[in-house]
Amino acid sequence: MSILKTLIILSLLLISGCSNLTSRYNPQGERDQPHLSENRFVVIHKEYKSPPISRYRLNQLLNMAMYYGPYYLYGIEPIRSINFTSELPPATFPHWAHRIRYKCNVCHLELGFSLFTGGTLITRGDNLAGRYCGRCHNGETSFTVKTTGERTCERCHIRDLGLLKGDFDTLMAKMPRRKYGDTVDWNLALTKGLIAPVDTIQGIEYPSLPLPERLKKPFAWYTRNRRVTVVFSHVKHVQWMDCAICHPEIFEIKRAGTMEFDKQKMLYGMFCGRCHMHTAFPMNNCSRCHPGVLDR
Amino acid sequence: MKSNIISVLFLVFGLIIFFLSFSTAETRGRLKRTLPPYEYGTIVMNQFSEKKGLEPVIFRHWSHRNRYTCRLCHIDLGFAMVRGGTPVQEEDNRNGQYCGACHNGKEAFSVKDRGNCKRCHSPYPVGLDQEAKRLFYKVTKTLPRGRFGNGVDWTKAEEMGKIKLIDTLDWYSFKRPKMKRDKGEIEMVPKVKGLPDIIFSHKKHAAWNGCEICHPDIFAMKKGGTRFKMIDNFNGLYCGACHGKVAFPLKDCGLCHAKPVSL
Repeated sequence: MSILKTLIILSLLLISGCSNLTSRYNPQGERDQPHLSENRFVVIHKEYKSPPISRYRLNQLLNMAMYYGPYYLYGIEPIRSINFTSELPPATFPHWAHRIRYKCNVCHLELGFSLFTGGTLITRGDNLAGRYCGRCHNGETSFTVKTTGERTCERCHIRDLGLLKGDFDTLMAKMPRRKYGDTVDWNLALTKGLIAPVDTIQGIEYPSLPLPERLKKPFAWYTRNRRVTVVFSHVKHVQWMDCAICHPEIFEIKRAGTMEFDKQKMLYGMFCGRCHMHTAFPMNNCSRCHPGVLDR
Repeated sequence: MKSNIISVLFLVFGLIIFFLSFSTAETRGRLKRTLPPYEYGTIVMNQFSEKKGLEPVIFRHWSHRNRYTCRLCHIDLGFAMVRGGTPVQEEDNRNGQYCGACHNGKEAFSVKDRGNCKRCHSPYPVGLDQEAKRLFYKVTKTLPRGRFGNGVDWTKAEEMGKIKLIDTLDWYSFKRPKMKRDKGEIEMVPKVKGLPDIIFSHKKHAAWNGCEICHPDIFAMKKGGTRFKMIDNFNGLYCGACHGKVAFPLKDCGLCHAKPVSL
């Protein structure tokens, strides 16, 4: 009998220890909910229409969102020819080589590049006429799209992506490093003045709108299961880009207007995932946005 | 009986909630693809074309706005500013109405010439018409650059005299007295603190629109008589009737929210 009692007590203890299984749909696990101070943050109260997904599914999702590839291949965009008849491989655009010199506004707002892969229909005619890539790659600002004696089309239409490693190492030799993505700490480089990317090539003053007072404090909100919080700082984003890159197309301007804003959407390149899957820094670095969550 | 009524009530309630969920100020993160500069302001007119066996009409605003004011087509000729609002058919065009008022062989290429059908009923989807693209860059080569939209600063182009806008068609427009009153600039204070005030210039708009396009259908004439929010603009009302799809997109916040913030 005493063995049975011990077993019963042990199993009860075991089950009660897995309290997350029962609190999955209980959003008010009060002792699990971190506190968001109203002084430090602008706390946004979001309402979610559906319950949180299970931890197993969330884990599956997060495994798909991580980047564990080579550091020099993070931020690479393939630019294919629009009629698919070209013999050349797609042009490989490295974000890291351009981030040093230009901020996001220059290409995405002024030159008209789309934020989607394949969203900008660039032809060789465009490049030669000084549009898109050809705006800078004309021999004056940077190397020309036309082939010269030493350089062939393969400078951009790269066949072997391993060649990028050498370029990356040369360019980033003196940059502060961090652990994820392309392993360069861009924010630190910017604030320390190690890079001075140009804001505009059309002479426009940025930001085009002064940041309202309310947006100078970081935003914070709870995720669906209220155990994880999200912190977003406008200031850190505005130092790289103008309002028009995210608003109103990716994020709604109205307060708490961005609905159904959950992690699954990141995978599809919606919301934060538009930049923070392939370009800015990957989702491995959880603690940058989710305070207290361990990085992967 | 009672449970029947209750279940019906639940169903109705549920449907109401379902449909209401689409009308709030929400975004679901669908980034609308930014149109290339030569396709901004492009309208596809397909009320009757496909039914009659033709490709839909691809109408590009940029090829018209460098020659004519907005008022001419939208007030004199009677084109609507919403999709599907104007029932234009071949017969109307042949009789000198709608498109046919200018496309009569004298002002522009004629609709009656069978070789010209494909110029508008274009087989190329939006974005892939290389000829239109070439023409766009040729036409806008000398015009001042702008951000967004067509990449052209149309207001500046008109002020600098690089484009001359025609406002009446002698054989079509009715005579109207010239409106001289310039109501000047209007300042609007936004609700969010810290956002600069909006400066609306009547002069800049009147050059293209006259008075009739906005008043009284879109905006009340009484000062302060129209109250609206930014979300209404994004939904195509008020300012969004033109600024979103055609005039310039609503991405350039600082262009309207321009009043310098005093320290």
